[in-house]
This record gives sequence, structure tokens and C-alpha cells, in this order.
Amino acid sequence: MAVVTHFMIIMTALPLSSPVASRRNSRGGRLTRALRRESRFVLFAAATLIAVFSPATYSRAVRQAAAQAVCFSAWQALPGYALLSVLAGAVLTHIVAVSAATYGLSHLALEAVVRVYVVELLPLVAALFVALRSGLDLLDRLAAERARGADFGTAALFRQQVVPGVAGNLLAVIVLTLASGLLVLATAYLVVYGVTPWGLADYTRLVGQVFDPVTAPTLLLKIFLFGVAVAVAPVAVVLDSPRRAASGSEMRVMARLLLLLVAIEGAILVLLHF
Amino acid sequence: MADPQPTEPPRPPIPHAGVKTVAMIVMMFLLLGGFVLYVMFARGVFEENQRLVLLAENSEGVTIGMDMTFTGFPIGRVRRIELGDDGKAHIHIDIPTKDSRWLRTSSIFTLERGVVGGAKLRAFTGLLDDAPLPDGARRDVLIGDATAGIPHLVSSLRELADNLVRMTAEEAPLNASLANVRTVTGAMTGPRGALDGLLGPAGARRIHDSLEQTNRLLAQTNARLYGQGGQGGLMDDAQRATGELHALLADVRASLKKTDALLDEARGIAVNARVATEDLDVLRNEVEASLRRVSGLIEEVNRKWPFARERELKLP
Repeated sequence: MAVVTHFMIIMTALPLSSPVASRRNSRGGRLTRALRRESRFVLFAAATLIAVFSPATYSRAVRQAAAQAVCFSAWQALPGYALLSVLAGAVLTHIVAVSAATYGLSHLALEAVVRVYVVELLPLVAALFVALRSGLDLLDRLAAERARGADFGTAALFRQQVVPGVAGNLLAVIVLTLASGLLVLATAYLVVYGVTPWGLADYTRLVGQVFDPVTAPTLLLKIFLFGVAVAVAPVAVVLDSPRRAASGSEMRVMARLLLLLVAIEGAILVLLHF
Repeated sequence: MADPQPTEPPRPPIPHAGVKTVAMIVMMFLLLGGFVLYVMFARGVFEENQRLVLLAENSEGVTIGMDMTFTGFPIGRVRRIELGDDGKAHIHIDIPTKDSRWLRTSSIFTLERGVVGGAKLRAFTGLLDDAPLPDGARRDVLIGDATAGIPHLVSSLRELADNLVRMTAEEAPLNASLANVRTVTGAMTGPRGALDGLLGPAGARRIHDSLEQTNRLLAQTNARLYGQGGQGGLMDDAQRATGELHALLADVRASLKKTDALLDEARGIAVNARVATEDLDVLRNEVEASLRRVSGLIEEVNRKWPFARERELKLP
């Protein structure tokens, strides 16, 4: 109950809209307004995450709603996404292997596939996939509720409407990325070595070289941050005023999400390679 | 405070959502745990290792986690690189215990840098019967650098480029030579062709005059030899003489045939003479024999009466 009380304090402190500030058009005013909006967003994201990771949040009704959200976001999307990832991984691995063999660099092909496809592309593609599939759905539902004047400042409504979607999207990004990544690792092995166990030792060493003590934790951190961004960005629509929420928030929210993903990717790249 | 009922989602509820969610969460942790364990296994966390320290003058290209190979198979992994107190790079290598048998006290280690790809650490063991390499051994590493020759190559290329620039400059000898060649080839396209280019206009003119004189001489010689305007030339005379010579030779051939027949007859006469000579020899022998017999008979008659002679010689 302490967590719920804390959440209530944060949500009460957040102004859901500031119509007075919107009339200021000076550069300093716009900057201040943007910083305030972003700080509100960060505080909201923190409060949402606290609520999502607090066991006390999950009453019976919330558990049922969260289960539905997880099934919609992750369970239903997993087979198709995994199949597409495996197909794309097989094609990409074959292309890279053949091209590398042409230049006599076949020993670098698998490493390139693992570094580029598994470490860099798959998490980003999974995040975008979840954002476009279930993130937009959650965004539409919450925007409609907000346009009808629903007050998400109350903990009960917040837990019932926001937390399940956030949990579902977060879990979906993590599961889809991990499952497709491991499947692509197996597919790349089969494409390059064929159905034989004799390349496993070499391949294992290669995987060990790619996922060094810096890369592996960084990859997991990146997957988690992508999941958080994809989960929290759409539900930030509850911070909008009912009139603004009714005017259509998809482009604004998705642009912010894309910006967040690019920022995370850039920060991770800087962390990994510089 | 009782929680309000959640808003009914627009899509139909998914059956067994709770079980599926638990399955997804379990799968997520399994995938996560499996990935972490696989990566730890791939990095050799669960293997017992033997330490080896390689001392290198330069550790450029060596990275943490890179392999050390023996006959192409990875048998060790770089765990740490440090700059030692002796000013050399200390490359700490973990060698799994099961692979340490390939390293002996006589093993040598090389660090090779190629033009493409990273550096390669290699171990070579010539005598597998030697004592095993002890744990924590320190060995110098031999460095072979394929890119070491690149600076020399670049400087050579620069010299070559400078030479090319000098050769292709405006007043370079090569340019002058090419201009001369152009002049010569230009002259070769003139009416007297290559002669102008080779001998100059005066020489070409002299050659041209000589050729004209030669042509005239040839025409005169032709007229003299083969005639001109219905008059017979030297060649006609020679042809006639040749015909007469043919006839003369035919006569000579006939005479020779007659002479041949005469000679055959003379040969027959000679043969007959030789036979006759042989008969004369026989006759002579017979005559000589007859004379010897007559002589003997006369002596016999002389010894006998009344024609006997005193055969004693009386000395005074």
C-alpha cells in the first residue's frame, strides 16, 4: 500500500495540462515549456514503472487485464514475428555469407550477422513492431478514455487502464527480442554450417567473442530500455488535456517514441564502441 | 477503497489468458537464463584454465577475448592485456586445461597482423614429447607484421610518382622525345613517307633521284635485253643461240653413240687378242718343251758313237 500511496502523491503533483503556458510564444517560454513537459513525462514514466513493478498493484481485476494485455501483445504476436525474423535472418545470413566468401572473408560473415542483425537490428525491429501493433492500440483506447474526460490521476483507474498495457508491451518487447534473437542465432548456424554438430564449438566461441562482458549486459539493458520506451510512450497520452487527446495524438506520441528509441540506440552505441 | 471495474477492451477476451501469461513470463526467464548461461559457457566461464603470459613489444591489434590458435584450432583466449613494468605488453591468456597438452616448454608463440582482419595469436609446438608448459609461464611472442612493409612501399610509390611527375613535366626529356617522335611521324605521312622522317628532306630527295635513275636504267636494260619496236634484243639472240646449241648437242649425242659402238667393237677385238695371247703362251711352252727334248736328244746322240767326244779337260 505504501507504493500506491507514493504513486498517488506523484500523480497528484503532476499537472495534467497547462493551458496558460500554451499562450506563451517566446523562445525562452517554449524551451521552459518543453523542459517542463519532458520532466512531467519522465516523472510519469518513473511512476508508471514503479506501479508496474509493484506486486501490490496487481489486484485480481488488474491481473486479469494484464493477462489479456500480455496475451494480445506477446502471445499472439510471437509466432508470426519469430517466423518473420527467422526468414529474414536466414536470407540475410545467406547474403552476407555468400558476399563475404566472394571476397575471401567468410570467417567474418557469421560475426557480422550476429553483431549487426542480432545485436543491433532485432531489438529495434521488435520495439517498433510492438509499438505499431499493440502500442498504437493502447494509445487509441487511452486517448478515447481521456477525450471522454476520464481522470487518470486516480490510482484505481490508472492501475486498471494503464498498468496492464504497459506491462504487456514491456513483456512483449523483451520476449519477442529474446526469442527472435536466439532463433536467428540458431538459423545463422544452420545456414552457414548446415545440419551438423561439428561447427558448434567454433560457433560457440564466436558467440562468446561477440557477447563479451560489455556487449551482453549492454544488449540486455538496451532491450529493457526499448521495452520501457515502447510501453510508456503511448500511455503518456493520459497527461494530455481531454481536448488535446481528442484531437489525435498518434503522430505526436509515435514521433516521441521514435526519438526515444534513436536516443537509446545512440547512447548504447556510444557505450559499446567509444 | 474498492477498485472500479476495468473498462472492457474492444477486442474479445483471449481464453486462458492467465496460463498463457505465466507461460510467457516463464519463457522470458528461460530465454534470459539460457542466453546468459550460453554466453557464459561460450566465454569459458565454466572451464578450468591454465594461465600463460605472453610478452610482446607491441600489443596492437590484440583484443580481450580473441583466440590463440594451434594448427588453426582455438586453444586459448586473451583475458587481459597490460603494460608491464619492463615496458612490454603482457598478454594474459587463459588456456583450458584440456587444451593445454598442446603447449610444451619448447612451444613458440607468434603475433601476426594481416592487412585485412585482426591480429592472430598462434602457438607452434615442434616437439610434443617435451615437458608440458607450466601454469603461469611467461614467453616472448614473435611479431610478424604484414603491414610493416607498407611505409616502405608508400615511400617507393611516392618516389615513383615523383619520377612520373618529372617525366611528364612540360620541359621533361620524355616530352621532348615525344615531340621529336611526333615530328618524325608527321614527316612520315608526307609524300615521300618514312624516308623524310629517317633521312630528312635532302637525303630523301637524293634517294628519290637515285631511284628514278635506277628506274631509267632498268628501262634501258629492258629494251636492250628484250628489244623494242620490233627489233630483237639480246634475249632473242640468246634464245636463238640456245636453239642452235640444242641442235649441236643433238649431233654430238649421235656422234657419241657411234663412238660408243666403235668402242664396243674395239673392246671385242681386245678380248679376242687377249685370248689369242693366252694361246700363244701355251704354244710357246710347248715349243720350249719340244726344244728341250730335242736338245736332250742331241746330247744323247753326241754321247753315243761315232759322235762321242772326249769329255776330259786337259790342263796344260
